[in-house]
Amino acid sequence: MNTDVIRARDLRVEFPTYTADRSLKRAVLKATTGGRIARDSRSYISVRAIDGISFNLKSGNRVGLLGHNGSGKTTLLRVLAGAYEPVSGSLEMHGRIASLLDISMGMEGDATGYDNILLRGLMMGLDAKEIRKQMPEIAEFTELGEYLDMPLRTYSSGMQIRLAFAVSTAISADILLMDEWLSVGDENFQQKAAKRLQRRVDESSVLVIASHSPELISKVCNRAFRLDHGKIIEEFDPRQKTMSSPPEASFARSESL
Amino acid sequence: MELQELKYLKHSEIVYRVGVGRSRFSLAIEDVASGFKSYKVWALLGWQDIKQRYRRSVLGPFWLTISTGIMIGMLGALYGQLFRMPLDVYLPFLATGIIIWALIASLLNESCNVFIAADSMIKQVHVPLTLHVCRMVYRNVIIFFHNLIVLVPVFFFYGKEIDLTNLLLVPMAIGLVALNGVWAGLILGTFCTRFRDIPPIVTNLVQVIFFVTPIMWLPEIIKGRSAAWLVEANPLYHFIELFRAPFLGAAAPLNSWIVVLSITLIGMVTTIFTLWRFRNRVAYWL
Repeated sequence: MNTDVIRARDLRVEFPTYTADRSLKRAVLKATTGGRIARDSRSYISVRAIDGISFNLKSGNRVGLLGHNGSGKTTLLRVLAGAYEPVSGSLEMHGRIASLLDISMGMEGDATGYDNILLRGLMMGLDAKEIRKQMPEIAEFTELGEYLDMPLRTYSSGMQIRLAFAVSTAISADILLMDEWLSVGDENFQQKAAKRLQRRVDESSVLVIASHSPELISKVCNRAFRLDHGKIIEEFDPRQKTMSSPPEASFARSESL
Repeated sequence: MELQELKYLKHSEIVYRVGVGRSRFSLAIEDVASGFKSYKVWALLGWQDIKQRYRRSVLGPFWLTISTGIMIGMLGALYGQLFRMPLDVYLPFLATGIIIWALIASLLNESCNVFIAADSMIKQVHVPLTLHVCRMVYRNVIIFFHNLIVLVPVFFFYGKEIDLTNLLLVPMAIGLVALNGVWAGLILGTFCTRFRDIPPIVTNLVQVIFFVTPIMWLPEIIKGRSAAWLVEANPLYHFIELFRAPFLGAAAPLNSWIVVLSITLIGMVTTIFTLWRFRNRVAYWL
């Protein structure tokens, strides 16, 4: 298959940073005063998180995003998830997207486990029928048994994550987005979860994963982008290139901050 | 690691596209269209909201019915005497007015937080903004229907004959309030996300408007006085009239329909304009 699954051209993302400047007063003053003051107060700082990124991903591509904190990895994932719309540039994606960026998104403490499966599934873009069909399988995978009839807030945090993981990985998608490899639960569950996640990865057409671990990327991915200040500064094949000092060094640097 | 064998896309018909031959205007239209279309999702989410709110209470949303009923009963008894009005005139007027006002007020107040409350979802997945607003409107319409039960005893004990043909206009009035709730939610939601000072202003305005709108007092009282223009110039009065008048024995006057329909139209056009300019910024403002 030769068509691109993801085609990104010159993506640019800028964050306006408002602090107290979020206030209406400033905006009104800006509108009414004009001239000099308006020019001054207009200059709120905007952070360019993605600065002209282009790439094509084909079916079978497993892409690792490397780079230290603030280099734009998570923002890029969120752009691919369709949450942040780029300020300029174009993006085209074909297929169902599964975003595993924050697996506990949309979970409600007061709702039961079953209701949470439904809620989380809806937010991932599944319809109710699909979720109900998957329900027994998800319920079994969590090993939570009768707890599923109880409100989520009675769960331990480990149990909550187990539930979130089970729903998030319940369906196969064409495009899988991940921020670090998901690892959940106690020892037994971890193995089971790893297997399930691997299966989803294998079934997907394209995987994009951000990670600080070069080992992980060389194990899972067949392409790697190194990001810095919102730009792709290097593309390489993680299977061939032995990871040399740069990633470690930059990783260590960011950690020591 | 061996090369992954190439997979065929299972869902190749699902295409997400930005910036490629799509104007921001068409994306705004699409947001509204696909938001309305995913009624299964927002209906379920809205229903879950209600369930959550009353999870551990025995009476659940019927608490609303009871509290609305008590409020109407108390206010009716007191203000009926203050205004020297027989209860069979005052109580039906007050009950219908308060119930539709409760819907309008909660739509306006919750509009402000509609995106702020959904921020984790907006920052993670691609969902039309309209969906969040529809969820909020749907939830409030459900609550409204619970409140509607209060009208049964009121009209059983105090009501006059209701003309059933007039009553046919009531669902239309409710529908128009809900539709206006959608555009108000999209506009207020967008601007309140950007300017966090707007929500308290709206809350305050809603409170003030409750007192200057003929809900507790009959519009006839003020007729011929200098502040009488306040009634006709108040757009919310016409929304209330659309719902209330049929219960009180007459269809709403034509000019109320004209005002409401024009507001609906202007509101929808303004909404498209707002979405066109700011839709893609909302996620960044959260």
